[in-house]
Parts: sequence; C-alpha cells; structure tokens
Amino acid sequence: MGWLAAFRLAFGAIMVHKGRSVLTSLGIVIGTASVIAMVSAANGARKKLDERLDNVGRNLILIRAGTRNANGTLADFKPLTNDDAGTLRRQVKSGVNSFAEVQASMRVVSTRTRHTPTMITGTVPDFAKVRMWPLEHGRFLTDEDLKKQATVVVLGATIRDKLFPDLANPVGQSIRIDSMNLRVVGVTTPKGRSPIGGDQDDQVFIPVSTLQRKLAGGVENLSLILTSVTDLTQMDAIKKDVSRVLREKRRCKTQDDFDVSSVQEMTELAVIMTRTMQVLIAVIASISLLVGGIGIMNIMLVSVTERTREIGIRMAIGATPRDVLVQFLIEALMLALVGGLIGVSIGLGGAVLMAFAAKWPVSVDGTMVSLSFAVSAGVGVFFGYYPALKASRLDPIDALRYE
Amino acid sequence: MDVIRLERVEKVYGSSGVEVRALRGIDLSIRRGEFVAIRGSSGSGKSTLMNILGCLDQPSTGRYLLDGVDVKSLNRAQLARIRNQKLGFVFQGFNLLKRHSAIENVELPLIYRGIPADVRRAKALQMLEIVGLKMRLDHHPNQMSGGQQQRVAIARALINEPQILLADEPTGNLDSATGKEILREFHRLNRELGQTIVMVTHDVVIAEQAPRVVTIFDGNIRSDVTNPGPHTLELASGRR
Ligand SMILES: Nc1ncnc2c1ncn2[C@@H]1O[C@H](COP(=O)(O)OP(=O)(O)OP(=O)(O)O)[C@@H](O)[C@H]1O
Ligand SMILES: [Mg+2]
Repeated sequence: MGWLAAFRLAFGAIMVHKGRSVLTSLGIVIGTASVIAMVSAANGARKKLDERLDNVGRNLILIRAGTRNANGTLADFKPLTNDDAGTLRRQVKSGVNSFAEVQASMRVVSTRTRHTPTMITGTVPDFAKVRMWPLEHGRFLTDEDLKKQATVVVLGATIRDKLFPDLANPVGQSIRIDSMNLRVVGVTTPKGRSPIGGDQDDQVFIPVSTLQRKLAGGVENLSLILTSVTDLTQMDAIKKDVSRVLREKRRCKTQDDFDVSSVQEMTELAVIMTRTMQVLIAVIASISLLVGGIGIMNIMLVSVTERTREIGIRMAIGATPRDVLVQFLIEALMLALVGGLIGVSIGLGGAVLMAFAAKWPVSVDGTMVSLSFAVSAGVGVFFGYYPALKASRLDPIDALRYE
Repeated sequence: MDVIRLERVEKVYGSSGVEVRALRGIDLSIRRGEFVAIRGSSGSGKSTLMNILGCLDQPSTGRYLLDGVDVKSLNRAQLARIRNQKLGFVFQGFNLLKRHSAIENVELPLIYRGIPADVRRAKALQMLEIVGLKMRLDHHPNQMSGGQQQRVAIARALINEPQILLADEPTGNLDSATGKEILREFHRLNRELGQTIVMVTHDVVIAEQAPRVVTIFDGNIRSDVTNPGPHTLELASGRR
C-alpha cells in the first residue's frame, strides 16, 4: 500500500472518533505543552539573568565585612577601612583593574524643585575602571576631588532623569544632599538592572572622603571593596590572593572576618535553581508522555478489537500483515502528532504569556519544537507498535467471523 | 490445466477430545472457466471448504494446489498477495467496509496492490458500471439495498481480474428476486468473460442451474455432476 493511501486511511479512522482522539492525545498534549512552556520560561529567565550579569560585570569581585556563619549569612561585622583597600591596592597588582572603596548611604537628593531618595555611593576614581563604567557627560571623580573632599557629584542616568527631566546634560548644575550643596560634574551611561533586580543607575557618586567626613560624620565603614579581574580564568587565584592579603592585614586567626565573593558565583544559585527546574520539567514531561503513550496504546487496543471484522475483510481482499501493521502504526503516530501539535501550540502560547508577565525575552527554541514533535512521534510509534502487531497477527478467518 | 486441485484434504477443528472433522478427505479439481456450485446441508463443510479454497484457512492434512502451487509453502504475506490478485471473494454478509463509499470499497484491492489513485478510480468506475451501479458511487453500504451491496462486493471481488471468483452463499441474505439477479450476473460473467466461479449454495434450484454441481455430505463429496449440454437455462439467458 502506498504511503499517501495509508495516511489518508489513518486520518479517516481518526476523524471517526474526533473527541476520543483528542482525549487520547491529552497526555501528549500536557507533556509537550509543559516542556515547551517551561523550557521557554527557563530559557527566558536564564537570558534575563545573563543580561543582568553582563550589566554588572562577570569579572567583578565583592569584598564585604563580616564572618560567614554556618548557615551562609554574614554576621559579626568588623568594618572594612580605607586602609584595607589601600593595602589591597598596593599588594594585589597583577590581574586586576585596581580596587575601589564603596561606602553607601541612602539619602534624599534634591534640586530646587525636585526631591528623590537614592543611594549615595562614596567611592574613588578607580571605581569607573573597576566597574568599566563609561560616562555619558562630563567626567568621573578625580584624585583631586578625593584629596580635597570636594563637593562634586556624578549622577546615575536614572537620577539624572528624575532630577533634571528636561536636561540631558546637567553638568554644572548643583544638587543638594541633606544640607550639602554639590556640583554635578558628570553623568554615567545607563547600566540597567543587577541580577538581584536593583536599578544600578538609581545612585549618585561622590568622593568617599566627602561622604565619610561630611555626610557620615567621620565614620569609616566601607560597604564594599570592589575589584574586577582582567582575565575570568584567574578569578579563583585572585580571590585567594585578596583573601590572603586581607587575612594578614586584619590579623585573622581562625576565621576570616570578611567575605570575598564573585558576582558569577552569587548568581550560581539562580543557575542551580533553573537546572533543578529543568530536571523537574523533564520528569513531568516524561511522566505525561508515558501516560499519554499508555493512553494511545489503550485506545489503539480498543480500536483493534472494535475493528477486528474490518481487519478480517481487509486481509481477505489482500492486505498483508505488514499493511495492517503500518495502518495501525500510522494511526497511533497521527494520534500522537495531533497531541504534539496541540501541545506545542498551547506551550508556545503559554511561553509568550509568561514572557510578557515576567518581562523576560520570549525565547522559543526551534530545535525544541521539532524535538517535541519527534518525541511525540516516537511515543506514538513505540506505544502503537504492540496494538498494531496484534492487529497484523490476526487470523483472517477468525477476524472475519468476529462479531 | 486445473486452477484448483485438492488432494485428500481434511480439516479438523479444535484440539484433541473435542475435535470436529469438518472435511474428511476431499479430492476436487476445477478447470479454468468452470462454474461450480457446491451444495450440501448445513454443517456439511461447505464454508470450511471455501475458506481453504480462498487461502483464508489451510487444510489440516492433504494438499491444495492453486495454479500448481502448494499453498502450504506460502507465508502470510504471500497468501495475502494471492487473495489480492488471484482470488475474488463474495460473502453471504457482503463484508463491505461501512465507513467507505461504494467506489472506495471497490478500489480497496487495488490499494493493497499499490495501484496509483487515478488508475484505481478509473478501474473502480468501470467495475461499478459492469455491475450496473454507476449511479451509486458515493453511497455508503447503509445507503444501499442488499442486492446493491452484493453487487458492490462482486465489483470489488472482480477488480483485480482474479482467476477464481469464490462466493459463499452470495444470495443467502437476499430475497429471491434479488438473488436471481445476482445469479444472472454470475452466469453472465462466466459465459461472457470466462470467469471461473465456485459458488456455495444450499438452494437446490439455484445449484442445479450451474453447469457443475458438487454435493458435500458430512465432510465428503457425495456427488459431482456435470450438467449435460449447453446451458439454456431461463435464468442464464434472461434479460439483464
Ligand atoms: N472455527 C470452528 N471451530 C470448530 N468447529 C467449526 C468451526 N467452523 C466450523 N466448524 C464446524 O465444522 C463443520 C462444518 O462447518 P461449515 O461452516 O463448513 O458448514 P457449512 O456447510 O458452511 O454450513 P452452513 O450451510 O450452515 O453454512 C460444522 O460442524 C461446524 O460446527
Ligand atoms: Mg457456511
């Protein structure tokens, strides 16, 4: 029998029981739909995370004060000082883009007409180099500013938009933090959100000396010391170097009272979570496909029994066992493919909806869609084989006599 | 040469203890172009014999040579091919596929022979015309009378130009008028196309109109009579 004739035959048989066919393929529908939707979601989430990781910089190392507890949180703070940063700057030279002190404080910044709370980041000129953060207008902080505790400020793009909505370049304008007037000397380029979701452009930069002396009342308590490696493969070596130098400097005996971590490893948790999710999806999908496959096998067995007489007639007029086998295999295959088609459509719809809801890029993988179809087809053929074989082995006489 | 040759064919149903010996040593030869009626009382073994002749079943012992080939040497696929190309069946219960139209039913043997669709259509049309059903192409079996269904079945049986047409009580489910019509069809096919026909019937009148009548009794051939002279039967020469 020709393939075209065989497919037409199978299609006709399926159309006889439309409702039953759709219900039968439900397992496959759920399997493929969940795979497509969830894998797309995981990919989207992953892409978004990657994007943000790139925004922050994969090469960034964060040094924070505190002892790491058994449960992984930081506690028991002995502040990081300018001196700590200075020591690191002097002793760890190769493989890093310098070090930058960061002391942050939430304050309200204002112009004459506008006020907005934001992060005041006291830092050093090297910060721009460490974060590889170019300027949109003006200049970044200078050594001169640092030395003089100058009242100058570099605005993040978001703050610029909030304080000077009509002014793209506010260099030369002045703003106020508490009672201190500062002159705007630069605006940084937008950098977007961090992996944690914070807007990195919602902050202003002032010399760390200015912050410590004039805003924090002389308190020297660095929130962070930042550095970035020039070569990602050297990440672990540099981290070790940094730890060694600081351990010596801060005279740590049994336990470090600081924490050195890379942005990359901080996001590893998220990566592990997406992995776990993917495994879970794979399990769910396999189970639904299995259930779907058994459903197909079941309905095909019913179909073979129902149509025993038809099989007998076909054999009597010349259908070979192979013709019968192929006929029922194709039916099972088509049932599975119908399920696959519905499942893929639902899955794609779900993926798009989720992407909109979670504001991550729609990420539909063409190979995944074709793989879904291939797997559906495989399930159909695998689970359809036994019923088809049963049909093909019927004895023509017995089948003809069947009531 | 004999198209059909049975040598001491026996058929035993069931396993030891409850055996039924349906055929008890049948010797039968049928030549090309013959019209043989097989008659006998109910349970005498007619259908059993037909099933063996039609390669739907195999003898328990003895040989069946179809066109000189011992069917015992053939596998299931080869038997299917023989049923498809050398044999045509007409059953008492028509055995049409309910979900398919008349023309699709007639086409079916050609599908299994791998004939392209357009050729199939044309041939099936031609066959339906021969049996006088050109107006009922797209009717489904449940939209046709018994006689029409049996004509469709005949068209289906003949579409591959089989060497033998086998019919097991083809008129059994039809009223006598329609039955006569079908029989007239058979006689015409035999006379005009030289179609070899083996037909089972337990209707004595019908059987005696056939050129050769084989009577089966209790699994044995009781008589094998060739009616003398040309068949100037009222039925056979009647109007179409
Ligand atoms: N599948 C079977 N299993 C067991 N016995 C069977 C089977 N088929 C037929 N028989 C027996 O074989 C004998 C012959 O049956 P068969 O059907 O050939 O008779 P028949 O001549 O066609 O009768 P009828 O005119 O009623 O159709 C009967 O006794 C029947 O009971
Ligand atoms: Mg019978």
